Amino acid sequence: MTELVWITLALPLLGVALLAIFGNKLPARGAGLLASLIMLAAFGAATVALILLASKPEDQRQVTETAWTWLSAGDFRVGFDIWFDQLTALMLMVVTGVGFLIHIFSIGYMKGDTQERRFFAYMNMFVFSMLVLVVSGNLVQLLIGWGLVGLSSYLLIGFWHHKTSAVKAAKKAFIMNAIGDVGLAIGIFLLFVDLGTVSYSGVFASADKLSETQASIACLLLLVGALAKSAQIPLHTWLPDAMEGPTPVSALIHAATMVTAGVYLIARMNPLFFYAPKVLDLIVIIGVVGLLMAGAIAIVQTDIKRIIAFSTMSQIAYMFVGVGLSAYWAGIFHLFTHAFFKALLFMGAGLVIHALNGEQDTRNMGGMRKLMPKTYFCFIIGGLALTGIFPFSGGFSKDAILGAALHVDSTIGWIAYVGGLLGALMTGIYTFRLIFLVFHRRMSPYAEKVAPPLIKHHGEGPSSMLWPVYILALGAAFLGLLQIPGVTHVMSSWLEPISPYGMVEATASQEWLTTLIGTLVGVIGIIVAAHLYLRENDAPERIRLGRGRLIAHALERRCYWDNLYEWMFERPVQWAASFLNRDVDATAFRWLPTDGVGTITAFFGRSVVVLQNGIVRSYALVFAVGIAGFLLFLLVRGT
Amino acid sequence: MITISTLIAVPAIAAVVLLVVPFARQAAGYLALLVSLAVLGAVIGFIYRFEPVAGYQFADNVSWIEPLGVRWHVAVNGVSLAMIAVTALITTCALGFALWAKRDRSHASAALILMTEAFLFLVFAARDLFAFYVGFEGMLIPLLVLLVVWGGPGRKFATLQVIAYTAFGTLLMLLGILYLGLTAPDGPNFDMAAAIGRGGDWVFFAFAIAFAIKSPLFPLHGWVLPAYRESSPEVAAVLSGVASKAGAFAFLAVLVPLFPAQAAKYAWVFITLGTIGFLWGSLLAFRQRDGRGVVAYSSIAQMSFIVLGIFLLSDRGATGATFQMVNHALISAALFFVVGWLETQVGSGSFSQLGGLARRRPVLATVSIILGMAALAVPGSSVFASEFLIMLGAFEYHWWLGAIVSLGVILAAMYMLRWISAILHDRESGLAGTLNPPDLKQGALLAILPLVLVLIGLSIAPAQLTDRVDASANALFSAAAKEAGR
Amino acid sequence: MSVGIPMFLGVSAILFTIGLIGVLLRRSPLTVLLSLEIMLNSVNLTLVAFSRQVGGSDGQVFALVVMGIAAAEVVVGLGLVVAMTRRSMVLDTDELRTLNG
Repeated sequence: MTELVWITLALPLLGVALLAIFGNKLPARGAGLLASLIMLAAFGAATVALILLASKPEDQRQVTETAWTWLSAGDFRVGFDIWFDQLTALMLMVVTGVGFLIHIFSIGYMKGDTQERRFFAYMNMFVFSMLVLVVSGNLVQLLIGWGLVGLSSYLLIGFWHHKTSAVKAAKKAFIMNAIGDVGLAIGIFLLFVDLGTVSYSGVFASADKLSETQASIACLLLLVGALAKSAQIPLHTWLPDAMEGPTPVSALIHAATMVTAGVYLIARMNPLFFYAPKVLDLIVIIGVVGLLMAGAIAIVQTDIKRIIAFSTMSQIAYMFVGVGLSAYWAGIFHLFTHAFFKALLFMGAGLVIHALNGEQDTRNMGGMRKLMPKTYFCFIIGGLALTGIFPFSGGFSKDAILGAALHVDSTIGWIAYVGGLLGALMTGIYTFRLIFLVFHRRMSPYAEKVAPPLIKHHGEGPSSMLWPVYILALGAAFLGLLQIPGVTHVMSSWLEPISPYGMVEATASQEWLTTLIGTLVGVIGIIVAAHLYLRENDAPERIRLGRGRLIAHALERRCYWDNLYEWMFERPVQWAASFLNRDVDATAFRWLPTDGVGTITAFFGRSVVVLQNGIVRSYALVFAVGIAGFLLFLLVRGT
Repeated sequence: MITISTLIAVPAIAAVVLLVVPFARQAAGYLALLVSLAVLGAVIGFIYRFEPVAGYQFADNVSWIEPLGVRWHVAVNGVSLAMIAVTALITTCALGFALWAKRDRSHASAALILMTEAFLFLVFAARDLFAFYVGFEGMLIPLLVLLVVWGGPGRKFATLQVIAYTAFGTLLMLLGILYLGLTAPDGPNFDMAAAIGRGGDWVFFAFAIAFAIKSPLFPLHGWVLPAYRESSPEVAAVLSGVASKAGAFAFLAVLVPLFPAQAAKYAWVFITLGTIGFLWGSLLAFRQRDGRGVVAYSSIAQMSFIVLGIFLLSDRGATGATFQMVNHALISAALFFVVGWLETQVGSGSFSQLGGLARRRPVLATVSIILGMAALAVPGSSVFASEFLIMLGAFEYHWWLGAIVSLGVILAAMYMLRWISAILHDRESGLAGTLNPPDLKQGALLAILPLVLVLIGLSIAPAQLTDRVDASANALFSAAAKEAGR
Repeated sequence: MSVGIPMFLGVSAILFTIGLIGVLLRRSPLTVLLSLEIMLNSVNLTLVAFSRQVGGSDGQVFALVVMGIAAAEVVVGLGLVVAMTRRSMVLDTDELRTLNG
């Protein structure tokens, strides 16, 4: 079974190597096929591994294995490990499965791009990085996966490197993630200093030796890493900019990999977070604030991909709320369903963008329903799942989180519950605003000009782009049935063993109540969106320029986070670097010890040069006065 | 069996032969390359025969200058063998690059590079203070000639700057060495083992200043920028890659074991300077306008960081510092080759003349990105492994030290991403746009590729190196650590 | 009436002061040389006087040495003055200041 995990891990790396070395011998189409086949094989291996794991008795469903010692110094030893348990198995399925579909989709999407091989090499690299992260059995390897994911995202976001905006976005993502890496690294240092180990098993076994302060600080630092990677407040600003990458990349980052890593980290480290209840509360608060803020910002965005990007941030915030409430299974369940419906939405958006020849602004869309009925249908399924309407998958998973909040029944729980429902309202509004703007209303002049000939020629897209969308639509529609409150409980019972201290799970009646309210709120959101956006009217614009103008301005500027960071960090650092470089370093360290020594000596020389005036008589005078003074001194001293 | 002495002698003799015998232009370059390859092979033999234990191995110990008590005593431990290996590799690559670049008077330049290699081997292997001095001072001679003859337009000033700094430092060290050697209890004795614990504070600082200049440790880094900017790429690679390591190596292998009490007492000085230098260099690298400037300041940052690691006087610090020396040698040499290649193709290393080179140049893009990512210590790279160890050591020293040092990693990400983007991204602009240089291939690539491959190898299994140097590094600082009460 | 040591020293001091004032105030090289000679001779006088008081001959020998050196010095000095005149340079020590800083 572990062999299969190693194979799953090795396959994408093999793909990278093959594409890098033999890439230019392959036909352009071949690169995509090769990468996709490798993903399919990896998915197969992961599936078999999952089945084998499920066939074991429940108390043996956790396997570790070390391939080789990666790094050592004194008593510090880190291996290249795998840690295979229920959570890992599930994550492997999501990463390879959804990843595979995105690869297939990419074949069609990237057709005609001259850089296909590089693209697929990066995609495989991305999946490999995420797998390293997920299968790791120790914190250092987790950090390695963490960093490699950041590197892959840098490469993919900046894939079109001739675009200045893409390069800037890639750098921003990398640096934000580097901040997270550093936080995570310091957390690891702290755990090693306190516990003397960095392996999961060692940390979990001795976590009870930590004082609450120690555990809280360590968890806070791990949280910094999680916030950066999962794009949560306050390290979220890279996510919307990351939309500069090709659409399949956005799907991969948002659905199957990368942003879910933070949720995975918290769920994985739950035996440690158990000892830091205040940090868990903080996670819930960050989650609630994040889901409301991102949801609100999504309502005013005009770029189709950015709307979905902010919805990702909002949905990940739900997952944070879930894991923060110790309902780890619910958080992971939402991660699971989200992977499907978010990949679906991105691919749907990709189809639309494809049909509009690269246009991403919703103001240049509209009326696509008639031209792209299949896409429209799938998009609606994705939208309903995202809004959390019963019985679509997102509804079950989101209500599991909110039900847990109800079940906790504390201040934090109520904040999460009310915030979550408010968020659901916003989700309904922005999701269906997007759908109405893109698929309903009158077609914009641009769309009228571009779309019909393209669609007439190609259809809604090649089958390699449509089939992944259909499969994901099936998943988005039905995967919620894995966990019908009071009926099925595949998710909660499968993930229950990953937390030794038990998980929060709502009762069936609490969940049904939440489902009822949640669906109701979602429907209200849809109605509001329909009222404002289904037909052309000036109501949104009136609100934007009228009573809501301050809020609208703040939301359009994404709540000023980017400006804040620019003034707090970017400019001071640049200014300080320039100042030190131009003025201090050049003077104090390059000029002073060499030319400076000469210049200073010459300066003192010039100040005494007046004494040497060349007039012999004055020398004689000095001489005489000196002798006289000396004699006088002897005389005085003699008495 | 090949001994360490032969290892030192072969490049030295080859250098003299190349200078004296009038070879044809290309033949001299190929001959030098062949010699360096043979030396590299011999070094690999040593690695193979090396036992990962604390003590010095393969010792040669004969009387050299009888009346002064000077002995020819050379031997290696894990740390010095690592440095010798990386020296041999980088020298080979530098000779290869020089061959590709077709330097005029190539026999002389190749001979001088080989001579530098011999002196560097002596520095890393010497167990006698006098022999160590000969190597430490001697390597400057060929390097300065290389700088002043084959350098750029500002080479004369740069040479002056280097001499002003290093002459000052080594003079102090010479005084210290003479003091230690001549005041030995049983007549003059320059053996390092006999000097342990005998020097006072001033001798300690006489050595420390010399090493700090060579490293360079903040604030004695003024010579670095002109020297790295004016030398030809292969000389800059040797200079930043291995010659500067002589300073950091001497901190770890000479200063700390010879002056355990002072090393413990003044460790805080070097930790402070190292921290400042790390942040200083990283911050300034962010503002340089050309490739060499970035590499120069990142070298200052990295070397300061290495010195910081050494004076943590801990397992993590010393092993991490040794590992980081190897990594930084490989990376800075490779970066200089890339920058040098760009300069020959584009005619300028200035960022304003570069850009957009990723298009249609996959090899250049891949190499640059691998190097850039390694330099900024992306998790999983060998640099990450070594920096992780040093930072862990810093964190064990004090949590805030670990926290401050971690900031440098973010700065490193900023300046290396800027470097990558300036070369590869955006539209082709400036001279790069008009000249349309080809992709990196054959000659220059062959000089860079070995370094990249070794880096990748070390990223896959860094323990292969750390396991070999751990015991040696431990033995070097253990006395000082005991003095420090750790 | 014997002439005592104080008288000799007094004369010597007066001569020395005259010479010194001459060196400091006069600008003609010739006069400066003359003044120097006066100073030297005042010292000679002191030497001889002390020598007579002590009774040895060391002081007188010193005086002879000083005279010899003074003669040599005058030769060089006058030679310089002649050379300067030949080159038609100004005979003024304040104008001869090419060695100023």
